[in-house]
Amino acid sequence: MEIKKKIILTGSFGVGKTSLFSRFIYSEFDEKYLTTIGVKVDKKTINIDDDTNLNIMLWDIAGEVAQDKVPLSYFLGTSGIIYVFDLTRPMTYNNILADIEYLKNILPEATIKIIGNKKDLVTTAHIESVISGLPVECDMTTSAKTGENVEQLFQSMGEALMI
Amino acid sequence: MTKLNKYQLTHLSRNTQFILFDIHGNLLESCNSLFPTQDIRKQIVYEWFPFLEGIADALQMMKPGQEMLFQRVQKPSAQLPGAYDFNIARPITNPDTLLLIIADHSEAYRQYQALQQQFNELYIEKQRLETELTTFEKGSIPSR
Repeated sequence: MEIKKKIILTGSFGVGKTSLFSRFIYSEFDEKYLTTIGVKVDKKTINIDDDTNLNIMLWDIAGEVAQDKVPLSYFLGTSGIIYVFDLTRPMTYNNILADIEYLKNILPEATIKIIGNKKDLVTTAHIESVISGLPVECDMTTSAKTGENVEQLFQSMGEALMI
Repeated sequence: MTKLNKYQLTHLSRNTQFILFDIHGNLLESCNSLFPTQDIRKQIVYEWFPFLEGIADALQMMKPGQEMLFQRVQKPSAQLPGAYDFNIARPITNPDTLLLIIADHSEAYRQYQALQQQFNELYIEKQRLETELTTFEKGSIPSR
């Protein structure tokens, strides 16, 4: 059985959404930051179990300082939301509670995963300090650069969408 | 057709492609201004663009007269390497079909991207300096 689901990558700009997109879809990483101005979409199939493949339509959305600045049309038909913040930049998670509330409000049925990216740039103590100070639960920390936890992120999102 | 209409048509045909398909995605007509469609093996429009494939269910449920605009879609397919606006409508006069209008604004968006890039980089640097200042004022050493 093959199932299609749309998943969006969203969050502030410069947090590594496009890097996570490229790492997952193309197994690539580029050190250079190139801002996304709108939306990039590509797809990848993952295996959920012996009988089920999930065809992920992944939308990499231009970063905004607040989620209410993202065009509403980009959220159309979304099943899963990956909200990404940068573990090295507090300004990318200072507004996290309001952002998550906003996303839950416009997409009440969607599964949301909150991700701290760029873990390769900080210490374990720093990660623990950031996560413990968040007003919401952080589901996973990733590094698009090293690939750490990237496949696991999409696998866990895929499995959550099948429930 | 007036001269103005002709000029208008000539101008639009340079950077805008009109594609008509049924709600299941089967190609009905295309003006092929931006890319040729006749040689594409699968004539299912949804499958040409992962962008459309992700919202196919929602498009099938559009009401007659409804329109949706998706701006700044980057590299939507191998044949479209720039940045485009996708306008999708379900015409009242022909409700069994969907009209896709792809407008190529690659040049304008290239300039927009350069400005946005500059803005984002400056904003990130400002954030970094503010964080370092706060850490300095607290008397501790920044973690990075």
